[in-house]
Amino acid sequence: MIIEARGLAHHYGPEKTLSDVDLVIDRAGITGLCAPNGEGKTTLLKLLAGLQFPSAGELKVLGHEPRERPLDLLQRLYFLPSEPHAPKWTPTKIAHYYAAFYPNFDHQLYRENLVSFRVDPNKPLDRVSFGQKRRAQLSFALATRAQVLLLDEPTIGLDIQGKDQFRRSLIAGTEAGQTIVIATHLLSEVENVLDHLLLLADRTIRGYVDLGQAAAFYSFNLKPVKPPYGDKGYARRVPGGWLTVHADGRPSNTSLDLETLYLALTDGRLVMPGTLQTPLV
Amino acid sequence: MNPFARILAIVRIFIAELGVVAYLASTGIFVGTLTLIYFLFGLADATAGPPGSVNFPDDAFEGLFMFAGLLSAIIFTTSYLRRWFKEEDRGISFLSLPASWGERFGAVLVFGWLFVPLLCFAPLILLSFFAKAIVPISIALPSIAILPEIVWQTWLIHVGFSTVYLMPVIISPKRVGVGVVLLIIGFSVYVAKLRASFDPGPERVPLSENAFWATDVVGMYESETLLTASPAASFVFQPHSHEDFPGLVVFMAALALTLAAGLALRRKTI
Repeated sequence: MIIEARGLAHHYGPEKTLSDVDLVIDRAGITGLCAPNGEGKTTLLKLLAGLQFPSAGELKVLGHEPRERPLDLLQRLYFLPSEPHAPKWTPTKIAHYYAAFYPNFDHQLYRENLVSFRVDPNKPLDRVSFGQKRRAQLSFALATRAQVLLLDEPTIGLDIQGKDQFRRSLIAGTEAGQTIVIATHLLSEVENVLDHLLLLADRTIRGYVDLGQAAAFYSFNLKPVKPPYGDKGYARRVPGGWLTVHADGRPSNTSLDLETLYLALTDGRLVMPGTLQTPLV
Repeated sequence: MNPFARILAIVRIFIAELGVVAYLASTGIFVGTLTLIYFLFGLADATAGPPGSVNFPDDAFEGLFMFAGLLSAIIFTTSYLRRWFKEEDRGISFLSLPASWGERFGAVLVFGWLFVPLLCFAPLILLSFFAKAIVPISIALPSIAILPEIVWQTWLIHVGFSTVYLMPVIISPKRVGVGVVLLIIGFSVYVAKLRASFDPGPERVPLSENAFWATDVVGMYESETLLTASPAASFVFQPHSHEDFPGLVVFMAALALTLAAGLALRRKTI
């Protein structure tokens, strides 16, 4: 089991951030973690990384309790926060000091990532733009070859080339057996590489959707007019008409759109594959 | 990497993150400020020596180092707590590096108990020697002989305070309890030892047949020695015996211990 949570809860003082979270990830792949603002995305990642401690419930990552922060787990898990600290060093110096802590760190891959991301390896990070700093941090994170990679809003600050390189690196990572969890609001930027979608709402997990299964289960149609009232689906206004999602096996005339699916499962309360329950009742 | 190498690597990272320029600047300001404080307080408390000369009292010198110990503990712990409270989102950071609790603790001990005191106290010690060498003979600075004891007490203050504040940050809450108890015991033993060795000075002097001369002389400090015997008896010189730990320090330590325990119980992040 890679990640396993049972009845997980977390609160900051009296304020609940997560409750009754049940989650099982048992295969390598890329999972998109989506939730409205303030619903506990970052908190969940921190719990997985052992940077926050659960208030109740059980949590295991790679067979360890993250709160204990055992060495074996820390060497196989890397968490890249949305605004991480960056030493005022060059990427080369950062690797010189930090890489030794990660047994699977791939120096060759790090150099390749820096080249692909167009990061100067000899320029201190306090003298580069936010985007360049972000690319250097991503280069390091991807080069750790950690078995579990937790990325919080990784595409912020990346330009088009950077996002493309990022997606290619993610694919290479999963081919090497990595389990990657990406918390993001920008689903469209990573939808081509995601294997699963993890929905977080009302402080708990509302669904863990296999996107291969979802592509067969849901029908996406672009229509010029709004569906009639009473239609058992979800419709969203998009350029050129209305994009509808249905779970009744009707044929599709357009491809799966992840943002629309996310809205259909959260706001639209559409049923999920493998269940007859609506995810958000 | 073996555990020992990891400890050294963590220490190296933290030293490297400090930055040479920042270190030199902060040390310069630190030493300069303390020196200024020393001379200001020293002058205020200075007693007149022989005509035209000034004696700097030992306790001002002692206070300077004690203050250095407290300040270094504050600087040291703040560098950690800042990360703990405000910058927990650090992907690459000293406290979130892959290392076991033991290695993390070991690195903190090496860094906080050896490197930081060296960083903070070395300039003061060197300054003491330098000042002794250059000041005019009319200014009587405290003797260098009392330095080891003062530095030891200062180091103890630094270690005590920084460890107390750091315990909840660097180790798990369960172990904090054990550590706090050990600290209380250690601190109590130390204070008890100090009290036992406290020499009230003149009160302890046995009456002698030459009492008039004795009250005039016995108990007077002469920079590094304290005369504890009546001149009528054979003279016995003892190393300078410092006054008891100030009550304020004991109170602060107790407060810090309570705070540490509180932080440990409320601890949510590393």
